[in-house]
Amino acid sequence: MTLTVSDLEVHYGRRRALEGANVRINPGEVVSIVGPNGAGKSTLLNCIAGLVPASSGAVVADDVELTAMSAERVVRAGVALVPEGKHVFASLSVAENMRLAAAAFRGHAPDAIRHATARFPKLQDRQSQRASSLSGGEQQQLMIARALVGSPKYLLLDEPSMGLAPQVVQEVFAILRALAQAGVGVLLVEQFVTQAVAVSDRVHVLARGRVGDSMTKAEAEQAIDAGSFFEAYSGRTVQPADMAQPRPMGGS
Amino acid sequence: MDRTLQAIADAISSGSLYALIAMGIALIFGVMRLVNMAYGETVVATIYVAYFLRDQSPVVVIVGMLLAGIVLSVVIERLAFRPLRNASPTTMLIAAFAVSFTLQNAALATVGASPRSVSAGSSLAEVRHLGPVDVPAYSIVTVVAVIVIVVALRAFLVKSTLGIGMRAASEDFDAARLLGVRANSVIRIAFVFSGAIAAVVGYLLVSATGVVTPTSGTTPALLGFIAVVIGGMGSLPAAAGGGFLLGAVTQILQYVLPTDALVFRDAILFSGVLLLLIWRPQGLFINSKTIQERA
Repeated sequence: MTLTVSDLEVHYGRRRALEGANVRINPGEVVSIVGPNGAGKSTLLNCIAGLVPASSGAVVADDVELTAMSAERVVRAGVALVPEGKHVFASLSVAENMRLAAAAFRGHAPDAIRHATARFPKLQDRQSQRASSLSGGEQQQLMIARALVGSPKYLLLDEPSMGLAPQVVQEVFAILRALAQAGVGVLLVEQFVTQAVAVSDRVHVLARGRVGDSMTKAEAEQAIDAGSFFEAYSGRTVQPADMAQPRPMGGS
Repeated sequence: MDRTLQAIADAISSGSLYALIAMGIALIFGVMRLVNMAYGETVVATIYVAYFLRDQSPVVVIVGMLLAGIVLSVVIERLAFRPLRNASPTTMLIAAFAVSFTLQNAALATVGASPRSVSAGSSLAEVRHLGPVDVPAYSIVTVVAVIVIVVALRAFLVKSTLGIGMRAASEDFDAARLLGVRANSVIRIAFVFSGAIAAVVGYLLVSATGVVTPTSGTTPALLGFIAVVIGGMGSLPAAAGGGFLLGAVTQILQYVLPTDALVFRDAILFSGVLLLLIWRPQGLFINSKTIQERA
């Protein structure tokens, strides 16, 4: 039972954005994809989630082929994406955001909403508030809570730390760790390298459209300490201090 | 005083009709970012259905018009717009013009360019005396229709899950899809509503004019689009407000301009539109915060 990405390629017109990507996520583990801006990280997640068509390769979740599925079918198959940036529905209340997320999973909506919101006490007090009035951290929590309504087996997150204060980032990452302990397979795309490695079981570096081999957390930390983490792909050495800095806004 | 009240009554009636047209266009723009220039031809098609059903009872005519509007809208979406859903807004706009011209020419080829007299809604031409004001029945029906449609649409958008899905999709379509909102369902329901509104617009228009030609829908569609831009694109209430304002100001100009200057009415009106857009390019009823929220 895994989410397996095999030889996945994505083209935007003639430009190849993703080249033969291979990634595997087991239930209960956090896998991070880290890499510089424009490397193809968001493309990888969007392709798995059905927003971007694959040119070739396959995405399979628990023996179900997702490769040609639309985004609305992929989420029903148990793979949910929390996209990069603020994608709460600003004019909808918190409760309406959650109700909409539950609509795709008929039959157990109230329970599913209660269960998904239980991890986010701040949201419970703001049910009737417009999503636009929430803080950045609360909006991120709402996006994660919405994605959890369908009890996904695999959760994909694209730059969840973007624009958040360090303490809020810690809270968000702690939630991801708790989700993994509950059996959810988490695929995390981040530029905030040291934080991502700290929360992960395995790490891949993605640069120039190519996904590198999987490293264990210990191997990644060792590479960071040695200053060679991005060396293989970017052709330069990135110091650990550089990698720990919050990065500018914008995705790949 | 009576003249002022009459002007206000006519302004409300005209504004209501423009608001309806604008809502039909804004519904589609909200979920697809598509300016459906074929909307006018959908309106015209419903009027031709009324023409062909002229020997039937009013109920049959109205049901026929509603069905025609809905079916034609859904067919246009399925055949012309769905294959282009991920295309650029410019491509979509050109496609909409292509559909518009195709339908117009199909009508020219089949029913001809001659104006056809349509009796549907002719009873609404009867003038009612409301105190000092003379109001045609269709004006009253127009205002009531707008109120009913706005209330019903609002209830749908706020209370129903599908309506909440439409609001979400109009803000961020991909994010809605990621929550399992079915893109096809949301878009289809928007076209169903838009087609039904087109039928209501057709009925009210022909109640006032009594005739139809293949090009009868061009001006209403264009004015509806302008109304959507004036009010603010992407928001149904803003579009309705823009439509009401455009229609009302058109009527008021009709009253206040000297007879010799009436030929310049539209020039004055659209100069005002231009100034308004320079002042508030995002639209009159949309604030910049809302734009940022949608960005």
